[in-house]
Amino acid sequence: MDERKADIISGIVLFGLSIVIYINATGIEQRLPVGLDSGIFPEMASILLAILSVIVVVRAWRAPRREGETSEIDKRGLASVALSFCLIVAYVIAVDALGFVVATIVYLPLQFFALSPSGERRWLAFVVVSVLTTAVVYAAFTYGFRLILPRGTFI
Amino acid sequence: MELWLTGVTNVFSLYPLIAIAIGVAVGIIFGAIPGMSATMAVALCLPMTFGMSPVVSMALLIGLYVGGISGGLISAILINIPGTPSSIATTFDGHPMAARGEAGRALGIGILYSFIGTLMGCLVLFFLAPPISAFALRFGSFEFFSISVFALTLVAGLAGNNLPKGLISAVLGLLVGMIGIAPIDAYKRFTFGQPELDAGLALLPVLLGLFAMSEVFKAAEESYKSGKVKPISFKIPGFFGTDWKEFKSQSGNMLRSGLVGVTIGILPGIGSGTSNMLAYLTAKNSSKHPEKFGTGIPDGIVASETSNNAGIGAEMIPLMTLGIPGDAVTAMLLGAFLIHGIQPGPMLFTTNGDLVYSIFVSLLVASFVMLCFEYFGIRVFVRLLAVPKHYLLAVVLVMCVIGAYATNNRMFDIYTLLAFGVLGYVMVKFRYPFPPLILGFVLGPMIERNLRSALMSSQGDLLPFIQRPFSALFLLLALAYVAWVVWGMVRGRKSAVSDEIALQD
Repeated sequence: MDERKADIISGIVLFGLSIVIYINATGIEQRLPVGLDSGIFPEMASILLAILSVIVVVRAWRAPRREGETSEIDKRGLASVALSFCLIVAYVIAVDALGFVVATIVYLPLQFFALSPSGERRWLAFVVVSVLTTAVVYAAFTYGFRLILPRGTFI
Repeated sequence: MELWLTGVTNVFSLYPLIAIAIGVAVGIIFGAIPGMSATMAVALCLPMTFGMSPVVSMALLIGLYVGGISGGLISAILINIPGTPSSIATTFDGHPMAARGEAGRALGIGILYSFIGTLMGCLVLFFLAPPISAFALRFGSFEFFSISVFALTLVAGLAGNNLPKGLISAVLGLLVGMIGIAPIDAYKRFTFGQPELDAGLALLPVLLGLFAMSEVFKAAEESYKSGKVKPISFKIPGFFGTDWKEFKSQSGNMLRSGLVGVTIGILPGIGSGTSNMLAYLTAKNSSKHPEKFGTGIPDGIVASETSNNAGIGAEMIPLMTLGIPGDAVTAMLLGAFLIHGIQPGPMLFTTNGDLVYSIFVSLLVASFVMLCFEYFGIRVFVRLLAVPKHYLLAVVLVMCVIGAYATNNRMFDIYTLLAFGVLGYVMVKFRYPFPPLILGFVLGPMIERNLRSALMSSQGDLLPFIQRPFSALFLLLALAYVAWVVWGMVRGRKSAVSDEIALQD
């Protein structure tokens, strides 16, 4: 996907967004007798967003087509991003359900795996680093910085 | 004077000093490792300060800031990748020097001028902040509205080289900032019946998502490539690789670059990412031998490193005197003040004078600590460059989750983090800059509150905005800036700076 195409897509999406926001903002009623009501700012912002997104699309449309530009995200990279995204979502859900410590000990080795090039995958090191990191982070934040970490069924 | 003494006594005790030392060391590490930045360091460490006293927490954050801006020079010189955007121009001459076997000399010069730059920024802060804050006591809603608008215009225009996209990012920030209870009449906007949204989105999860989590996705995209880099070996010769004669010959360049850094820093909305490029170009254009720039001469390093660190003190000025943050780091410092119940602004100097001077002293101490750590500990930091990214970024993600949760102790903020992490990655892919979004998010509510309360006090009359001189001045500046940028776009010209920045993207 070259920048031109990216701009056209993002511009159209943003234009759609601005319409949704505008409709939502016009539903805001005046509460005070003087001054601006709370709807003016969102209305103005959504109109501005609409104008700007049109400018982005028009500029991209008129820009010269560049030949031979290769795709920016290749398939392997995209798969890897998708894998990390799924791991992070699973981790967030696990933090809520199981608690910080258990979720983190399981999550870290998997994320190390997902982010490392295939030649550098050492499971033993991953597990050891994960356990140590979780222990240090938990101790530092709960005892040192006195913060509350998410608790679930476990700690 | 009395306040200075209070500042010194506050900072020269065990905890603040430890906080500065740890802050600087961690900051340098974040600065040095490409993909991690001063902004990320401050965002990740902000939750740790929730339980600390204001002085200790400010000491830690200032240490991180100073270390983070300076640390980028290490990777810029040794592996030709700027550790942070503040050190982009350092690579131009730093790496050619290193490739020629003068890595130690380049590092020495970079470290020395980072230190001098920080001191220059401190001086400007010490001398300008008190009078500005005294003057700003007269400012009301009209002036604060106009200054915030000016700041937002600047950041939108200068982030990246595409004005419409910068503005879109700023407008998105404004819209995100409108979620929750509106100022003045407390109307619930865009909450969709979710009580969690009533107070609006918290700054920290938004920042952590954009600046930290998006880096994890970026690393994932490139993860199949083996990322091993071998830093060049080096030894810093003599006194920071320079001598008195060279120091004297660089003094003009140093002062000019410091001035560029300070001027850019004091303007809200733009910071060291721009100033190092601008200082480099200014040095090149006013040099007797511009053709040598880029081949590995100390002048380039002096310009870049003096200016980026000089910005630190200067960027604190709008934050401390007006309560208006100029970039993502100062937006977080604003958050750090508010957590301790302190409102930065003109009143800060009268109500919390001791804290103000403790911050001044912390900044000075941090610059000396930075000098010592980078000079004596450089080998340790270089070794850390070899720690594989997959370990670092996975741990960064865990820290993001902790930080987001710690904001309000609720899962909702972790979901906010996740949403903005994805948004950040999408914005990177579609080439929209995020600094305007952050500034829009932080300044938007200020702009709206000030405009609406100003209009209530003037019974809906808009004239006072242009009748009050300072309000008119800043609105005029904002207008002039927009006109200048649009004019440049119409004529199809781009400034040299934005060209260079575009090349670095």
